[in-house]
Amino acid sequence: MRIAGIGDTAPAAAAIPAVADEGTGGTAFGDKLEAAMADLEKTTTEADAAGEGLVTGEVDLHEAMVSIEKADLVLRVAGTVRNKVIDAYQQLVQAAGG
Amino acid sequence: MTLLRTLDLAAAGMTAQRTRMNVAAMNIANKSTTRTEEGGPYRRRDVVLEAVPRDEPFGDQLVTAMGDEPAVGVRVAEIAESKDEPMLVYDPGHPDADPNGYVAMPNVSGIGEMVNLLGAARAYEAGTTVMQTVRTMAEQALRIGR
Amino acid sequence: MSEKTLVLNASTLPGLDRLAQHLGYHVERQAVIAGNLANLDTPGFRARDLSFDEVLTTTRETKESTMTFERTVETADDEVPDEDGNTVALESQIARMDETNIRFRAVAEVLSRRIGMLRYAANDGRG
Repeated sequence: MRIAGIGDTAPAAAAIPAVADEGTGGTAFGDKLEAAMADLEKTTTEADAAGEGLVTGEVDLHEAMVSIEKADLVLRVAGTVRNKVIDAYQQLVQAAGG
Repeated sequence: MTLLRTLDLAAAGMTAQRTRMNVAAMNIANKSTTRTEEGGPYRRRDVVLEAVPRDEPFGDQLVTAMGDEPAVGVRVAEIAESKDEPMLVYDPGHPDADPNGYVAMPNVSGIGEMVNLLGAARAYEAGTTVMQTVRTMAEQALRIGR
Repeated sequence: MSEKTLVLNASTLPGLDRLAQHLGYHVERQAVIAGNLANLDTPGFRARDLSFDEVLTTTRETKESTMTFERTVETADDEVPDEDGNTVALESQIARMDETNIRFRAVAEVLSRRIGMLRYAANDGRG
């Protein structure tokens, strides 16, 4: 099972320290994004393994369903965090007159 | 997958019970058979059941007190020929009567075989209930999060 | 950044795992029941049941606690052995099977609701 990437967040992530300088608590964004990405990697891998296991019969149906739902939830969080970070970056750019 | 194993267990039980039903029916059909190829009257057949522990373990954390697997299957160990002596029935007019007028009849009790038959049918029915339950649980599992 | 997005993190996912373990227990219990029913007429067969325990163990040095889910298979006679030594009673097993089915359904519902709420939070309140 392939879950589509949420895109390149590098520019937004790079802007985060600058946002922090503005006193908006931006480094928290960076941490949260990193944490979300780590969670996403973990749950996506588990969901893939669960899907495999379901096919080979090693994994129970309900286990596979829960693994997949967890991966889905974390993916949504990562997407939401990504959106927030990009919003903040864009605000920063506007504030800087760009 | 555990749900599928549960189906297998139910199926194994139903197969064993179906054998019991068939054997009971055969015994009843041959209740009065006084001549067989091996010579002598029909000998009642008895189905011997035995438990079969599953070969795949449940999971690493499961503790079994009995030393075998938690969910135990069943199979027909053998269909044994009864070693009972034939019943001697006084019936001098019977073509197979001995000089004293006694006929060696199969040691088959109609009532006994009916009891076996009904018991087996009941147990077979239980297997279908298990399968229905497995189906329901699988459907519920598929709806998780939906 | 809205904190409600981040209610979903390492500390909430284990809640889902725990519910999933309960589901697994009920599924396994059904297998044990199916085994009992398959052996309804097997001479000498003693009925069994599956019980569970949630055990909290704390390591003294690190003060970390882990919750482990343990299942145990035990002999659980439905009745006094009959003349063949069998202790399985059909009604008892069917009743237990129905009960297990209901409990499974209940846990699956709770799990689904919780996932739904987390999904709402994960989308930051937008569906």
